[in-house]
Amino acid sequence: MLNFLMIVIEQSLIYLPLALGAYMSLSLLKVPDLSLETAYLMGAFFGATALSYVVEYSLWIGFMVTMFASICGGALVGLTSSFITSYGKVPHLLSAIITFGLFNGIFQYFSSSYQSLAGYENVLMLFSYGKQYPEIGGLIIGCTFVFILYIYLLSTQLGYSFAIFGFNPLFFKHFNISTPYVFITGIIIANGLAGFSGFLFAQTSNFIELNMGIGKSLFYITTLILGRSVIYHTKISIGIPVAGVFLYFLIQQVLLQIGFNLQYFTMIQSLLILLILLTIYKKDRSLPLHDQLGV
Amino acid sequence: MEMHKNIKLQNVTFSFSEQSKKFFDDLNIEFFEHTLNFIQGKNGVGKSTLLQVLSGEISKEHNLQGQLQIGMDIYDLSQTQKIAQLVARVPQNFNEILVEAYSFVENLQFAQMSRYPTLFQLPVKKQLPSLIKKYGIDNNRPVSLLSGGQRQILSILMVLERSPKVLLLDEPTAALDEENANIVMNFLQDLCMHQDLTVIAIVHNHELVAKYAPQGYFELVNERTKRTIRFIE
Repeated sequence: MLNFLMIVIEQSLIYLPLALGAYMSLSLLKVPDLSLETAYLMGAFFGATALSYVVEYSLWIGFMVTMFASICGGALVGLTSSFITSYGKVPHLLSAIITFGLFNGIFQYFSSSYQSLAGYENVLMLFSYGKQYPEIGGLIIGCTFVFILYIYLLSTQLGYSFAIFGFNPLFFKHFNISTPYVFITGIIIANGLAGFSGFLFAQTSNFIELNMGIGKSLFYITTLILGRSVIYHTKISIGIPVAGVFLYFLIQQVLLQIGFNLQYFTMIQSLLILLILLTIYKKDRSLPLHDQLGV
Repeated sequence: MEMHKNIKLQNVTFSFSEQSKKFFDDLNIEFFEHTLNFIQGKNGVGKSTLLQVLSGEISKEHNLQGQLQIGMDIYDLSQTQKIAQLVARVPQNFNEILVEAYSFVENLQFAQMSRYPTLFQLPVKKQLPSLIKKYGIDNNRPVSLLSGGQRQILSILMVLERSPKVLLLDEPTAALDEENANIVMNFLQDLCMHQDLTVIAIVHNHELVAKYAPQGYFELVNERTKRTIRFIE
């Protein structure tokens, strides 16, 4: 039982930053932000690149440098896609697709499609104890740090401005507040978080790979819909991505325990989304069924 | 109460481009200070454009000349940023400036945010104007549950967070029933009396005009291709 729970917690921690980023762009800003997938890849790439420069330093320094690098990698993707949207007057979905193409090329230029990280020391192994789950300490510290900053951010003017953007993007122009500033900042932070998740995955799996971000949109949409199905809140609620990511891996592990072949898990995710949208959301008319992506 | 015509719009000349015909040609108006001023006129005569000129919302590529006098101070209308600090306009669709899921007080806090929202907490709302109590508004109620009149009052208060001297409204009661229209008009009258505000509003409803501006109203007319404004007592 403990082993089961630890796997759920470990997996949840790896993907928590991605869920928080998705919550920011999809639920608060209400933007169909597919660039999170690209940010996930580029975060892993930037983190892995930083990893090769910190081999001579202590694990703590390596941990902080790679964490910062991965967030910057994701943020760069966010900056690109949001800049194209704001100043190119292109729908964000299209900007995200363009960004995917651009960074796909950049990744392949600087790296091979598959790169093993086995030759480097694992920066998540900050503590010598806990042989069975040696990375859990690094994951807890990294996620706690990100989580505290995220909670603080959402209580500030900037955090509220993301939610305002989602409810009423016209609001800003009437009060002489910069709409591009709010939008670009929100997407940069969301993508930075996705980048951090990408690196946590890469470090725990010991590799980065060109296609590692593809399909992550289904993950984060499922996560947010699961979270919304248990916590309904019209304003900002950080419980939604947290509960969503935990439930996601709980369901996945339960299915694994009963002998389910996880090769069909993608299909299960789609069925789960459909089931929730057609039952819980439909039953409660106050829930915004046709809200942005239902999240 | 004696009323002074201390808000003056002088020698206003405006065209949409240098090549196009003058839309306003040497237009002069004197509004009453600290009271309700109503403007009427036929559709398309330029009432909304007049409010845009007055609120500093006309972009630089448009050809705008003229002065705005508030009390003893005279401002050039082409100084749009300065004008925008003195004159505020509530949009015709007031829902455009409201954030539905949040409460009355939270919306007022949002209206105080800086141009680039910071990493500091939202500004704490000072004491709400005492006259709010008169209108029975629950400050903590989400905007989505407020009546049309209460929403209009909130949108006015949000615009007033920037402390303008003149408030412009484009058909503020058009979307409201009679009861809510009267609530909004009473509120505007209270603002003029207790907060020394001057209100200039486009209102088509003759009953409301007669009730809240017994001294008369302004009519914008297009006479022989020249727009003029006259005061109807």
